[in-house]
Amino acid sequence: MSSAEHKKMRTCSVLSPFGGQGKTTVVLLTARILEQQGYNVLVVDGNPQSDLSRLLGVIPGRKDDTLLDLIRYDDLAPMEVMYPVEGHPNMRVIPATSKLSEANQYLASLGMGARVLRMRLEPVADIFDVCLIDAPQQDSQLTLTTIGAADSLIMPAEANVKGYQALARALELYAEQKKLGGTQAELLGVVPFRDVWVGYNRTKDCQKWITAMTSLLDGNEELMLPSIRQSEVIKKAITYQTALEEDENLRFPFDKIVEKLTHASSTQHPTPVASN
Amino acid sequence: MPDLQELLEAKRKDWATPDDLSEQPSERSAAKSPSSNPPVETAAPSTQRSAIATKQPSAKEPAPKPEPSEGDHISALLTELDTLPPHNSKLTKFIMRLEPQLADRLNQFCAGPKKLTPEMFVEAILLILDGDEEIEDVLNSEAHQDLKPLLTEQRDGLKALIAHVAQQRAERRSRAGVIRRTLSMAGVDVPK
Repeated sequence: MSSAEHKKMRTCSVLSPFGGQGKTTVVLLTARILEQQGYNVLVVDGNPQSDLSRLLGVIPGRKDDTLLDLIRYDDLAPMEVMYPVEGHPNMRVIPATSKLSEANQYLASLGMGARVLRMRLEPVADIFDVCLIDAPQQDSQLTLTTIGAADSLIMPAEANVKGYQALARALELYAEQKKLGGTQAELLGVVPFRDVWVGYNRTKDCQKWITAMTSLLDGNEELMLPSIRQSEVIKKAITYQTALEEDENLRFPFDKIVEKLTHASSTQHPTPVASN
Repeated sequence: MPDLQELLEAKRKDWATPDDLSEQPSERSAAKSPSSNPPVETAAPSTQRSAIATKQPSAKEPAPKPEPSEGDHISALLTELDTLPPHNSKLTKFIMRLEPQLADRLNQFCAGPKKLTPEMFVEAILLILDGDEEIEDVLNSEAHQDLKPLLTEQRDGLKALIAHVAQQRAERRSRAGVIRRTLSMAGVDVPK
């Protein structure tokens, strides 16, 4: 029986065509919370900058298999490119190196590159509950294949003019792909990033841009997820592998993403394994 | 409930490459039978991969191919392996070309009609050349007397060759993870 018949894995791509929009932050901290809750989590570093791999402590050697190999070679088992993450037994990462950009040429030559990553991950769809993909930060074939692999999309965007532009482009890309049949993913939501608060109040500038972002969603406020605040605590959580347990406010947007991911309507709902 | 590592290990064992390794290289130009085709969803990328994997056109057609006379299998194989494209994962097929009967035996050893993965093949061939008892019993039967010389006279040479080839491929980077792990399981020293 094929994996597809037992598919339980929900694949979510975290997408933004610009850098510094919070993609890696969302993937990393969401993955940690999911893993803490007992889910089997697969994290895919789709960005040639390979920040996610480095932050997870997985730095492939010159001869090690990475996402590039998985994309290129259809006879390479996905299990062979999955690396364990220290201190996170229920998490695996498919790492990237700067060479990942070489995949663009290959994907372009296929004419059906948007479907490749989805197909490559299919064999493990019955093992993992959630797969989070850190999409690359440019319009490229790699971006299209990460969109094509997804059941759902999350779009983080800085609460400023650059973030607004990034979101506009990401939504455009998503709409194009949907129209062309390159993806069946649903938009799970937009996460404002680096939201600046002073005391109990959000700054006017951030408020302005978040309102503008909501307008890009045709006013659909349900798609506007809780924002990730500008905070040194979050930076430390990323660097020192903590999971924001001590600050509920800062953790809240990630809890909300987890809730969305694990209760999303399509396909089978992931259920956590019994935690020890 | 099995943990993630166990699930992945089980999946790894079940993994079959899309290439039908029971197909003989000499028959590759002929149309594949439906049963030997990879799953539909992998057919297209497989074609593309071949295109990329054979970037060195000269490597596809090994130039002066020496006639493999009896007892000269090793040098023939070496010549072929030298002309392999760097990203060709068909190590097994080239070994099969060396000795079809040995390949058949390996196929049976590795659960009959199931497809072989490269790591299974390398592991199996090393095991056989090391003289696995069960295999020895089979080979000692009358039906397989023709394989005995290969396993007795050329055992050391073949084993060294296979280890050498697998090491080379690991160094060349192609299928490195798979082959390195397999070699390490087989107790062969693999330089990082």
